[in-house]
Amino acid sequence: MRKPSLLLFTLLALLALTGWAYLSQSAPVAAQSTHTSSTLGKPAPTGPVGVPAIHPRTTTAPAGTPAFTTADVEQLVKNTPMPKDMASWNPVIIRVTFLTSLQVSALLKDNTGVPDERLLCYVEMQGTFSFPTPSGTGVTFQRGFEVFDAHSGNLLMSGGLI
Amino acid sequence: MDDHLGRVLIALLLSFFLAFVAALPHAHAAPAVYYCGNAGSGHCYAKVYWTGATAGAYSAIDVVDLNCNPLDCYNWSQGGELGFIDNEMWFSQDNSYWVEAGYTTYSTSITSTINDYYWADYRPNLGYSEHYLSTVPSGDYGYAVDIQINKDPSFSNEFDVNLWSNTWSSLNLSTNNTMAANKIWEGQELAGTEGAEAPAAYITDAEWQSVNNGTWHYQTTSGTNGDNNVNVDEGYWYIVPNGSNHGGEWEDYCCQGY
Repeated sequence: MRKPSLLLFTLLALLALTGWAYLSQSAPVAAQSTHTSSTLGKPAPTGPVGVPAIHPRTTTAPAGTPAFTTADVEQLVKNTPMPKDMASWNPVIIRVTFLTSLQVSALLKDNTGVPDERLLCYVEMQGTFSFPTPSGTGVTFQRGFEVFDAHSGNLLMSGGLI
Repeated sequence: MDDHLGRVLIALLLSFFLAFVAALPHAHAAPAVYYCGNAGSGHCYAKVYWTGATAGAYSAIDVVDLNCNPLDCYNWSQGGELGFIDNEMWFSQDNSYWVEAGYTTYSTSITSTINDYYWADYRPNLGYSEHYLSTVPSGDYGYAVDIQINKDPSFSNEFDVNLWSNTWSSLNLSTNNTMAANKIWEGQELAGTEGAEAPAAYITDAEWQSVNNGTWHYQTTSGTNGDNNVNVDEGYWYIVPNGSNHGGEWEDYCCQGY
């Protein structure tokens, strides 16, 4: 009986491992909704902080001084396709400039969402820029843009210009 | 006798083990590709929409851990578009102009993935703008993000775009926007060929705002199903809106078997 017992133990261990593998790859349980229509008790609103993009060269740059160079911007933009852009990524950068949020808002006729005096980096490109409509087709532009926070390097906005 | 019993037992266990392994669905199968995008069109959607002039739209979308494997979702198409997957709500004028908001996952390199709250608009006589608000805080998963897009009652040509989650909120404005909204869409969008996954998310509290008096009303009908590839990105009514269930519950998930 010693030999079968050893085999039995081995097989039971295999079964346990298989069960664990099965459970670990099962579909996750859906999250439960706990929302209410009321805004009472919701967190206080915060301004946009963007998403990580350019690595700043310093964390101590004064308010009116960018924490990265235009070369840093060009390198990132050339090598990182614009999110949601459906066209092949081959942009020609025609402008990289540091402007206040107020100036960028005026340029784009859009609200950046960050304080007017905040220093931003505006990048304009030529090429093909295409974005999905709700119905699934695309709207295409020959000019595109990206806006970065001049201190954190985070990407705040992107899109197409007519 | 003992040896015989032992052999029978081993044979039974071995049979059970082999049958169990064979029954495991795709446990170690290489993922197949899906076809959800090319330059210009072709994304997959698990969405539903309602038609009719309204002043605003509202939904509560479960925040789930969307994933887009960077190796698959970065530069998947001819060195071009980034693959992505999102859960969102659109408020549009037909299929022409729109404001949208939600959360999305995409890769900015072959080693990194971003999951962020965003909103975007395409305005008449102006361009398309996407606004990156914040990465999704870890404390938001398992809860809902409430999204409200509506004409600002104080200013013409402005839309409020507000998001409230469990630990975070953001109030935004779509300015210089002259669109006349007449469609509300909600659900999931998928771009790419492989590497995305999304656990089931429920979208509840589907509401519309009256253009006459600004009052909010729950959707009472199932609208039109805009799910264009149910084999990959699936959406359906888990609870159909019926006038007494707060706009029903739309469920979407992806990408089973891929």
